[in-house]
Amino acid sequence: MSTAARLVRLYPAPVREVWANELEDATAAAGLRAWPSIVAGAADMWLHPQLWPADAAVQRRIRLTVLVVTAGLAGWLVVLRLGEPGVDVSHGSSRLVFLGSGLAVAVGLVSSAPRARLEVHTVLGLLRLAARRLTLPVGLAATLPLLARSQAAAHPTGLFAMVLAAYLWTVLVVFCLQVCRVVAGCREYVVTPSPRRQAFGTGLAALGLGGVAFLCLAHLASDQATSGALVEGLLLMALAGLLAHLASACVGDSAHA
Amino acid sequence: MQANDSQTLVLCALADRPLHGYAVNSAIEELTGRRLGPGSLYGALARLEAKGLVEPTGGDELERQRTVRLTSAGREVLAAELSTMARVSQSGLRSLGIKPA
Repeated sequence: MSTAARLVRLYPAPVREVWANELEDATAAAGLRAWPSIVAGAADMWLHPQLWPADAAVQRRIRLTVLVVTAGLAGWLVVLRLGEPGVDVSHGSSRLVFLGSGLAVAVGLVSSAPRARLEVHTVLGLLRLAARRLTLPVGLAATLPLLARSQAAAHPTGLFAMVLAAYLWTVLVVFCLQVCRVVAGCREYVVTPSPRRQAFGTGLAALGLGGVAFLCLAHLASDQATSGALVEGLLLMALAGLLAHLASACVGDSAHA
Repeated sequence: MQANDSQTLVLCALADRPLHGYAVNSAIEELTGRRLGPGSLYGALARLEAKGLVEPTGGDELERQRTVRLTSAGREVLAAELSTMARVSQSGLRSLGIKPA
């Protein structure tokens, strides 16, 4: 495979299906100086799923929703780790900000999510899709109570503690990935929200993640500041920025809806 | 070159006739003296197609190149953009004391 072809593979599949040949030819013709443009172009396309070639506007909106849900769930995974760098959200103003931010993310994601069509066959289809995709992570999660009751899990040490933590995080990541796949595959069963409602929900979720990011970064000023809080704060800021960008993309869509 | 400029240049290149990507870039090079990078060019084409301002002509599924053309909405948007740019350029040139062509 040529270098041009390898670089073009960075693009999302729907974009490659339509433009791969031309992208490869243009990259090969322009040589080395085209590489930054191709890499930047691929990143640009991944950040704008609503621009990928699609059969219909609803497909573009679903793709945008998948990215919103992905960013939201990634933020949730980061927040789950919050206690480990010692960020205290158990009392006072920190607790209020944490709870308020969590509520904003939850309300925001629900507002921006598509709604199931209220017809028997579409609801059943959606349930079948969810069952297919979520059986694995739910099955894995069902083993967790059994593990928790085992003697080794009561006082996990060393290698076993690491394996247990890795297993838990694997279950969580697989669950999040499969939820994203449910959203990606639900096009024929749902009605997408209006661009303005999607923009509002996504913006609210961005605000929520930004609030938790603020808590992490404010923790840096405390005596127990850790590099973990800095990393998590920066990750959450990046995800909040991504959601804010997607919210503005929804508004841009409304001009062309 | 900003994203909107790339899209306007692509619309200008397509004003005359349908073209494929390489020919669009050649037309832009004639106009401005520089080609767009492939990421910028195909990003602009993807945006214009998503906005309904350009569309594929079809019939070239076996070719490596995909020919696109302006839609009627694309023509209207391009005309409005160019009219605005013409007004701005005439006003600016007048302010500089240069008689607009």
